[in-house]
Amino acid sequence: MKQAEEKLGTCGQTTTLDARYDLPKFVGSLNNVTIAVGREALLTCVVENLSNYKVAWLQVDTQTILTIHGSVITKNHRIKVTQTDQRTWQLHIRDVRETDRGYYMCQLNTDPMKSQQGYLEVVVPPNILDDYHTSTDMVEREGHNVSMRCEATGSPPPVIIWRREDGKNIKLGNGLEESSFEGSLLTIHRVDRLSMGAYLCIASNGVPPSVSKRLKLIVHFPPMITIPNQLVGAVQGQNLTLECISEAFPKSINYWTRNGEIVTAGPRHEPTVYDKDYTITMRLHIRNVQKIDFNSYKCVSKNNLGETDGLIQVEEILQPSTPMTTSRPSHSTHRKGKKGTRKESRNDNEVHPENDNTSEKYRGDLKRTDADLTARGGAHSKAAFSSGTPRTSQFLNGIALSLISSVSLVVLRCSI
Amino acid sequence: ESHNPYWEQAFSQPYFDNTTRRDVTTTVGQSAYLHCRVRNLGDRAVSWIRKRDLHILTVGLQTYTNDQRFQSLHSDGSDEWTLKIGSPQLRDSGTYECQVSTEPKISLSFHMSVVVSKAAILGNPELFLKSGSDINLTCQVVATPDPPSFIYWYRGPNVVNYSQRGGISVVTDKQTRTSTLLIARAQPEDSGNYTCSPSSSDPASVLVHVLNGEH
Repeated sequence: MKQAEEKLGTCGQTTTLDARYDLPKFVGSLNNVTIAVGREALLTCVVENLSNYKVAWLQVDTQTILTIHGSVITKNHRIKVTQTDQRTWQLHIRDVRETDRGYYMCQLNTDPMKSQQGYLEVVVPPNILDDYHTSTDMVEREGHNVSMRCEATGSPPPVIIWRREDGKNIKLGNGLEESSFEGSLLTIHRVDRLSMGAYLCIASNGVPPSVSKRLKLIVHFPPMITIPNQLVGAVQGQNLTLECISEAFPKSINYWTRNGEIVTAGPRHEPTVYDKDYTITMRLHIRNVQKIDFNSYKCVSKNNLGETDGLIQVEEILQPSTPMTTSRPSHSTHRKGKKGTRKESRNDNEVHPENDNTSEKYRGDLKRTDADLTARGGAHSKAAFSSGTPRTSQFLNGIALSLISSVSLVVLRCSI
Repeated sequence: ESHNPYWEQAFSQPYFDNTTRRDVTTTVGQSAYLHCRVRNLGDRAVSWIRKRDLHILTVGLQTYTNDQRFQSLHSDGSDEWTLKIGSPQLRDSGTYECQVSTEPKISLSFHMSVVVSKAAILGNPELFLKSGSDINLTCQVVATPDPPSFIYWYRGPNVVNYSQRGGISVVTDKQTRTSTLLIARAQPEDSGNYTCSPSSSDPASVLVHVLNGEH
């Protein structure tokens, strides 16, 4: 204390009073400040009885002198000091940067010197890194694993949440499904076509604004065809629509063939396609069905990963008034997806020698199916055809047609 | 400054002349000087701070601290900004930083050791000798930044008087900072408290008893 008294004397202070009461002191402590990057930070130091003593500001981590009294010492032009009523000294840091984060000291040149420190926290809104840290749109084969990465900077470190843009669940594989997933790396095991779509990676850390990035996940798979009705009956003169549903990505090209020849749009034939996402519904409208239309139609779907097709057999239904002329076996055999087998196109109008043998077999079937039909609807069927496999047996009857539930047939063939 | 050709501008940032001593040892009470040389200072200020508590000592020619022992020495036009620390104490030992107000700052650290220099006489603090044998005392100055400029020997309060009796020799070696006092054929009246007192160091003493051995 004796030293302090001497010092006051040197500062031009009166020493008649007890010097202890004249020594400057801090009022309160330096508050911690949190500020977003780019804004102006303000640190406030309040001093009592400053008299001829001087207030200095320093950056503690770098041990840099910033200001002394009213003067800015550093050549950092973002620094300013203001003072009101000899009590309140404020350090201004304009356009705050992350490097400004840390402790700041308010110092008084008493002897011994007095100081207090406050922490400047600089927060940074999240920013998704658009370089190699973050994935771009992903393309993967169905059944493979796929990983999407999204990394963001910011302070505090952002949390990454994944969501699907359409609000559907994320199928992580292995039966796991979540509406959202947290983490910078999203891995989907054995990805399937249902996972195809837009994903959002959302980075947030409590400092607005949160940011997101849209990533498309594209799943490639070879075409697959579903046929609602594999066997269709019609009477001459009516209009008819054949339908195949194909799933493929990249999008497939689709067409119809009859007897191995592509069916093009004509006065009576009109192929249409309706596509949605990876599904294409292809239809063949046949107006005024003629004899030649009772045939095997094939819908074909091709993309770069493979090709598949499905058969639809169009059979004639004889009008009850019209006497039945022939009982012809059908060749609506659909090909099971045997890789690389490209079957010969069979002309159903031709009568092959072996047809006589097979017709015997079909007659046997006929009896049974007749009985079935009778049991079901009590209707008499004049003709019934077996499609050749027990699973997809389908019956056709001019009268009882509406009673027959259609059986879907899925044909999957890969030929790469 | 904008008229400077590019090759001059490349050197317009301040930089330190690193040839000055950065490790300074001084003895208690003996003023110490830390020399900081800055080239291309321009309009920037050279400050000195004490690293221990970040106490600002001087800024340019101004002294900020109210500890009057610190002073900034600088002559107009010179590159040298010297911190003078008057009557240093042991507690002043530590690191001092010469800082230039560039953005970011550049700085150079200096270390000052304040030591208590003292003498030590080799052997026991109390010696017993038979009369007729030699008194051989070796005094060494320890912990001193500079060799002593002189070393005095005392017996009791008085400087050892070489002319009082023969057979006394003193050999002082500044290099090894030692001084050896040799008194040949000691007699009981040579007994006493011998003190070695170098310049700017604390002294050391030894009590010598010369015994009259023929009983």
